[in-house]
Amino acid sequence: MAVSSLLRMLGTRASSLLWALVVLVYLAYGVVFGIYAASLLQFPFDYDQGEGFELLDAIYFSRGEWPYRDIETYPFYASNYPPLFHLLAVPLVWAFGPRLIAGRLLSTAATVALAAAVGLAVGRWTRRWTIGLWAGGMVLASNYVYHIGPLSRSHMLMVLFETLAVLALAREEDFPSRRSLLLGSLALMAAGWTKQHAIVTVLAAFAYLLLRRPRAALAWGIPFAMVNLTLFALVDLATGGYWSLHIIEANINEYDYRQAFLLYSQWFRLHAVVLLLAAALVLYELYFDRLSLWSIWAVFAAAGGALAGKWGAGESYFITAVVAAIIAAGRLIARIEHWTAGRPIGQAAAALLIPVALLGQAGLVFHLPTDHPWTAPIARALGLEGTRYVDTVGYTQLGHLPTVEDVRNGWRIVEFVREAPGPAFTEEASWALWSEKEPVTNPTQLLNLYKNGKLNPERLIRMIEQQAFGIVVLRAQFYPQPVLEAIGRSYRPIADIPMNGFIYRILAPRRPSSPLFP
Amino acid sequence: MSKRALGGWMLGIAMLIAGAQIGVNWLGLGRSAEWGPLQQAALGVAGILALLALPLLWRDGRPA
Repeated sequence: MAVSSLLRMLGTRASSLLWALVVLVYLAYGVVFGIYAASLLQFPFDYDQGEGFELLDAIYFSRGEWPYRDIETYPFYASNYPPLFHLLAVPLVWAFGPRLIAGRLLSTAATVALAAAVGLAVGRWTRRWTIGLWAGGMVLASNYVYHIGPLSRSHMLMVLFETLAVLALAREEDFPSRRSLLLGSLALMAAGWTKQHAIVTVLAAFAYLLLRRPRAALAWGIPFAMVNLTLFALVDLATGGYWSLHIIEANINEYDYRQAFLLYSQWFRLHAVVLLLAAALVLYELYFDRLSLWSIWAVFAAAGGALAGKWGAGESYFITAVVAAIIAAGRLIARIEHWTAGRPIGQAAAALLIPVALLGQAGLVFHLPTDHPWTAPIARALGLEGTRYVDTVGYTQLGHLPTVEDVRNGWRIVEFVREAPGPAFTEEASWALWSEKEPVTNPTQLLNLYKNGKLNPERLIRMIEQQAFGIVVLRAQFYPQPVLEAIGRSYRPIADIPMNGFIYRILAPRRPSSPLFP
Repeated sequence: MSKRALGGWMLGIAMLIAGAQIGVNWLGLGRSAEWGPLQQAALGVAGILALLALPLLWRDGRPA
């Protein structure tokens, strides 16, 4: 008797210690996310190509203009994203001016709200704040969320709306009430009007409702589709057809299944514990219980990752799948706690094995910028000195902290753009915005439309050949080939400036007597 | 919808994926280095889906 109570006491102590460690480790990931976000909020230039264009969409809206426009006329710009993120960023553009901080603040806030929503939901199911803290912390700990969360990108806002929609629709056990259906539908609409990838969650919600009550599902699905199609048609009408061109046709890109395979295997490698727990919930519900929206969402979101094979897509396409799996894993943990209640051996095993597994998961997503005063001592203790950023993803262009030299070199590029006469042709929008010039072109949009035979770049090429742009700033050179050839014929490189891990090539007109660039 | 009906749907989707491979082979893409691995992956997904579906067909018609 005395031995068994001693063992029970030791087990409880060990479990408390392990859970304390879980909370500590995942809180630390939250702090690392905060460090990265704070660093990016202070960084004035594009960190990831395309951030400036999402800001530019908000700037267009703040001027009362559509960003879905004729890309064949000056300034040769159009957006390929739905408008909600950019509309919500408009007040921040008014507050901060045309600066990336507007979009980054919105995305960071959405990411933190997402972590809070997931943490609160899981905490409520399990009635254990430690598990809730783990779930919220796991959202921020995922390498993918960490990389994308603080960027001026619409993706995290979409995932927030998707999650809120699923939380609303799953409030009732059997079938959502009218109120839940309405709230869920509004959140789903918001997700879809933030980014097209939300179609995966819309399909998951429809499949769930169809499984539960097929007639009610159709009664919901048809009006939902009608409302959205009507809104789509109205925007298309208001933009003279450019909306459907840029939102649909420009998004039909080449598909490389090897890229999708690579990302699938990376996604599994990084989130194995969470994914196995989620898979266990799906299998359990498939054979021994009713399928919940959580399981269905996890399956659809995982299948949606296949879209990551599109040209221009990447790890962000797996964020919905990561969040869905975290929630499903939380559901399974709640069930395990329920099953083992009153069974001392099962309870003791769960109390030890679950936190150990979650600590193992923390190791799988390990990432750390090592050059921050708060993280440097940890990096030293772990023997990670000499590398600015460590990430279990391996090579990644995201996650490191920009340096003082990056900022200094960025201002050098701005100086070139400012001093050049006339408009500037810059592959990233922030160079033009800091120089108080109109950003010209959206390279990937031009490239996608060109590949799909929907772009005649003649007018743009004519302007390049006339050397109408005082300066050209290139980074990845994601332009249609004829545009790049025209730049090569009419402009000459005058400087290569490294910034944030990339080389920015500055080109000046080839005309012999350019006063600024002799 | 019952578990059995769900199993039927899953099996149907698995057969659709597997059937699409006939079309892929007819186009002569199946054995190419470019598309062969994708075909194998699709067949793998179809196989898993069918395996998961079979016990549902065998079990009773409880609601899914």
